[in-house]
Amino acid sequence: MSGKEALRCAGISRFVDTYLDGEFAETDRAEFEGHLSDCEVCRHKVRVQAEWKSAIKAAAPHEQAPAALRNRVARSIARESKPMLSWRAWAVRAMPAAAAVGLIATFMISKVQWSPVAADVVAKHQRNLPIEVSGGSDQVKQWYTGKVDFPVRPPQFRNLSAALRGGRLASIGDKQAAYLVYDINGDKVSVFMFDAADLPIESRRKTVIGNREVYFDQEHGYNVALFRDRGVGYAIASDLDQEQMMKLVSSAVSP
Amino acid sequence: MSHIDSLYATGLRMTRDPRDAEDLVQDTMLTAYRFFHRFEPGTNCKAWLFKILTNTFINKYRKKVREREVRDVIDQEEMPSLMSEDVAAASKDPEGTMFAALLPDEVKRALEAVPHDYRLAVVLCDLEEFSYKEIADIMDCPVGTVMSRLHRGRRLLQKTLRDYAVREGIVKAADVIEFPGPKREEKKS
Repeated sequence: MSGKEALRCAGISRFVDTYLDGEFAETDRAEFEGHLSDCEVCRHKVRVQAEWKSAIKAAAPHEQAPAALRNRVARSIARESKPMLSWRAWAVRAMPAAAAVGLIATFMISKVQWSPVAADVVAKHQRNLPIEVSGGSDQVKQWYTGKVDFPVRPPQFRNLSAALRGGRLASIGDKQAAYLVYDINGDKVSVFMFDAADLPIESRRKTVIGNREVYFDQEHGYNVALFRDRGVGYAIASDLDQEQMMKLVSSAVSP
Repeated sequence: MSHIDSLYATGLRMTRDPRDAEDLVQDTMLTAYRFFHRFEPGTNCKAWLFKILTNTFINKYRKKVREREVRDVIDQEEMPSLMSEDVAAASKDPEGTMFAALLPDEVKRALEAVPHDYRLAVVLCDLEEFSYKEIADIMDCPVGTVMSRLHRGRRLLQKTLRDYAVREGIVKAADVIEFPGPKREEKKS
């Protein structure tokens, strides 16, 4: 190994964590991966560190809050809301106290049934995954041909200043998916497409927008909208609030 | 209540005491309830709750948790320019055996041995999967500090776990047939 290369490895090594945490900007990531493809030593470091990261997550203790704690929390919140003034107070009166606490933590009342898609979609939305293809809608569409076994028609959002940033391959559960990233008025919006026959999208909150049945779900505070169009399932995750999400979905058209 | 388990588990990592962790989570939930009107819908609810958790911890429990404050000293240290020796040593372990057999109890003890701020950064990133930006917000520090805390915390954790693994290796050496002979000799010596 030349001195120059060694220096490069040293520089790269500092950022193994950043790389594995998915925190690189795309260009940095590309440069990093470029080096990895040339350098067995760094590749190995990355592999070991990646193993460590997943091992620690798998082996970490996942204590559950004891029932007594849940009860205590529910009771103290019920006490807190005695002077009934607001909608929160109404909620407390209308529901058992424990359910009222659920309202705070997730601000969704009716979520008994979860779509398994939402959690996965939000996890990917939160990460800055690198883009594999960028360019116009046609270019992106073309890129997916032969890579996924369903048609990828990048949706357009009428009346919104939406820009397609690019796309990549992804998975939801163990099913393949196409993942498109949009920039809509400065907010990141992730659109996942998959074979609608593969994954259930139903959750408790169903709304009909246009002639589409749209399911709304929420995960880690992010809103997710799920619907089907011509045999393709769509899951949209964004930082937008629910009202904006409704607008977004109602403006979506697939050419 | 969907985040209460995560809050409790992280509370345990912070306080290292089940009773304190319960009190901490209860105070957190109550504060969240009182200030729920300040939560911006559409933003990350879990991150918001974790920020309340850490603030509550700092305000109320930190005094109780007896821990030497090493943060300021170590924060000023430069990030090592090379991978630490621990990881280099680990990379000589071709099968990754040292990480394969981690037990929850070991991880718990090893985490407890890491100073608070480093531990919290690792827990938030590796266990709760927050982004650097979210961690910076939760811990109220710049992203650069998050990175150095993570780096340092992970290296400390790896060192502790590696020490356990070596010790375990000695204890179990006689039973573990798949260890190649020379390696076992190495560990004994």
